[in-house]
Amino acid sequence: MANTGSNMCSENPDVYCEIEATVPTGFEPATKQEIQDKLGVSSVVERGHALFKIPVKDALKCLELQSVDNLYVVVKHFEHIEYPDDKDGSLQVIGELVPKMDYTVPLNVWKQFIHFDHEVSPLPCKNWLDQHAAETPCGNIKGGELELSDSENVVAKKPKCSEIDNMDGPSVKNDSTVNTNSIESSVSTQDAPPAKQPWIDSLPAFRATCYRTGSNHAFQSQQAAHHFGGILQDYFGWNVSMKQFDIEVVLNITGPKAYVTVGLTKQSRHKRHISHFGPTTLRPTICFSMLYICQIQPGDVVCDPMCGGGSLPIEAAINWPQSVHICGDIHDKAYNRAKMNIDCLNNKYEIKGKPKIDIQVFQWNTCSLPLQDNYVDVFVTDLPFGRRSGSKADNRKLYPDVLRELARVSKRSTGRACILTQDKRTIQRALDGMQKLWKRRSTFWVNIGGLAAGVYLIQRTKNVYSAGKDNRKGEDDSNKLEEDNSGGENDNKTNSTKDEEKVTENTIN
Amino acid sequence: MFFTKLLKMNLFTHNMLTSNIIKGVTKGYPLGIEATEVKTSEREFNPDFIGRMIPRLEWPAVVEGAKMLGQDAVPEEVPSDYETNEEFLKQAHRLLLEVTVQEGNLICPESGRKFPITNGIANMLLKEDET
Repeated sequence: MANTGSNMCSENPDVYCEIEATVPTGFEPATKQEIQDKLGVSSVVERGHALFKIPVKDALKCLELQSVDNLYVVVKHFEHIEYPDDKDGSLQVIGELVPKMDYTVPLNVWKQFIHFDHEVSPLPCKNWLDQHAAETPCGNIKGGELELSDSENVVAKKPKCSEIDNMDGPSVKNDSTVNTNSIESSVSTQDAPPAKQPWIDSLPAFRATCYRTGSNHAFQSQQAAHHFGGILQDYFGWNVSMKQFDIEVVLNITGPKAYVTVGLTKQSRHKRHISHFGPTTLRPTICFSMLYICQIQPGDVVCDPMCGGGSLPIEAAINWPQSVHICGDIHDKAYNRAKMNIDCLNNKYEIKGKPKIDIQVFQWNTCSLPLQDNYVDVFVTDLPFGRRSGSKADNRKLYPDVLRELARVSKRSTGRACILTQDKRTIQRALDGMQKLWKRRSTFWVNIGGLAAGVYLIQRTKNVYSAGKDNRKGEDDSNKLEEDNSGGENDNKTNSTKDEEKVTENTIN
Repeated sequence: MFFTKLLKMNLFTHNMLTSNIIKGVTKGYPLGIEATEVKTSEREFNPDFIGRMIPRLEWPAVVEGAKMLGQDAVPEEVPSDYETNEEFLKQAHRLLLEVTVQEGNLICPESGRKFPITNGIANMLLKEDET
C-alpha cells in the first residue's frame, strides 16, 4: 500500500489535499467567503488562518485567492500529543512525529508551486532505513491517526489518502527500492550526523519552523524547530538552509494539538502589487478583504478619498475592472506614491500583455470633495489612526467631518462605506452622532501590524443630506436632516470570527 | 510618455466633479476646462461598461466639455436605444475615456477659481478661506 508513488497521486483526480491559508487576523469571514466563491469549497476558519480541502490537481487555483497571505499544505494533524514533563522527553516526542507522516501528497502539491529541478522523493533516505530497520516507532502519541471530527471525515471518504494516512514508520521500510539514486548516494555522508553535511544539488534545501501556542510545554518553539528539523534531515537527508530553502516544513503546536505543514509561498502574497511602500501602507490582502465585504457590483463608482500609497484603489482596480475607481489624497507625497505604484504595476502589466488598470487620481481634501452629491457607490478607506499619521486630537474633528462629507457624496440608500481605523472610540462616537445618515452593518476587529483596529461597514440611509452648502464646515453636530425616520441603529456588532463550521466532506465517486 | 497616459483627466471624470465646495458657490457645475495639452490615446472599447455608465452621466456636461476640448462629432443627446447603439457607444467611449487633458485648468463656472491639472492629476485643494 505504501507504494503510492509520487506520480500516481498527481494523476489521480480523487486525491485531495488540505490547504492552510494564513489571513490577516479579523478577516477570516471574508476569506471564508472568498474560498467558497472562488474554489467552491467550504473551509474551517480559526484565528489567523483558514483550512480547506481541494483536489491536488486544483491546488494551484489557491493562488487566485486574494485575501490570503501565505499558503501551506497540511501534512498531518495530530489531535492529542502527550508531552512528558521534561524538555528532552518532549523534544523526543516531537522528533517521533517525523516518520509518522506521509509526505507523498504534500510534496506533490509543493512541486506544483515551487520549482525544483529534481524529483523529491517522499520516502526516507536509505541511511534512515538502515538505522531504524529493527526499531518500531514507539512514543506516547495518542492521537496520531487523526481522531477528531473534521480531519477524520475527510480521510474516511477518500480511500486513497486514508491508506496513505495509515502508513506508519514500519511500512515505509519495505520501500527502500523506490528510493532514488541520489538519495542513496547521500548515505555515505550521513554516518556522522553532527558533522556538517556536504551540499547535494539533487536534493532540496529545507528549513523547519515551529509556531507554538499554549503554556503547558516544557520546551520553546525554537528548540522544537531545531529538534524537529534535525530529525527531518536525518529522515530525508535534505540540505539545510535557513534562507535559501526550497521546502519549509512548519510544525504548529497548539496545546496538545499539533499539525505539520509545508510552505507553498516563498514570500507573503501581500507583496504582489505594491512596489512603493509608505509609512502606513496597508497590506493588499487587507485591502482586498475590505473591498470584498463591500460587495462591489459592475459599474459601481468606488472611491478612496484618503488613498495614501494607493493600495486600496489598486487592489480594487485589479479585482473589479468593471467598476470606476477614483482616489485622492491631500498630501503631495501620498498621491505621488499612489501614482508611482500604479505606473509600476502598469509597466509590469504592459510587459505581460495584461490590460492596464485605470484609476483616476486627485489631490483633494476629504472634508471637501469636489464630487457631486449622491454619486459614489462605495467608499473604502483607511482613516489616519492617529499614531503614525495624524493625532487622536485631530481625529476628533476629522472623523465627523469626513463621515459627513462621505454622506453627502454617497448614493442614498445603496451607498456603503468600509472604514478602517484604530481610533475606535472616535469613530464610534462619530457614527453614533450620525445615525440618521449612516447605519452600521457590521464591524470586524482586525490586527493591523499589531494594532487592534476596527473595520466598520456602514450603509448610507435614505435621508437627504442637507447641511447648508454655505456653512458646511461651520456647523458642528447640528446637521439638519429632512426625513427623520431612519429607525434604530442596525448594529450587527462583531461578526463572529470563529464560525465553527464543519468542512464539507469531499465525496469521491 | 507611458506613465502620463494612465493618470488622466477625461470627460468622464469631469462629469462627476463640481466646485460647490467653494464658499458661496451653489451649483458649480459643470466645470469649465482650459486645456493646454490634450491627448487622445486608444483604449480598449468595452460596450457593457460604457452602457452602464451612460445613465450616470449628465450628458449636457459631456457635450459642453467636449466642445471646450475642441472635439467635433458630439451627439447632442443620448439616443433612447443607447445600450445597443454601437455607433453611439463608440463615440461616447472616445469622448469619455480616450480624450484626456494632460495640462491645463478646471474652472469654477461661478467664481472663476482655477484648479490646475498637472501631469493628468487635478489639484482640487482649496485654501482655508475658500471653504
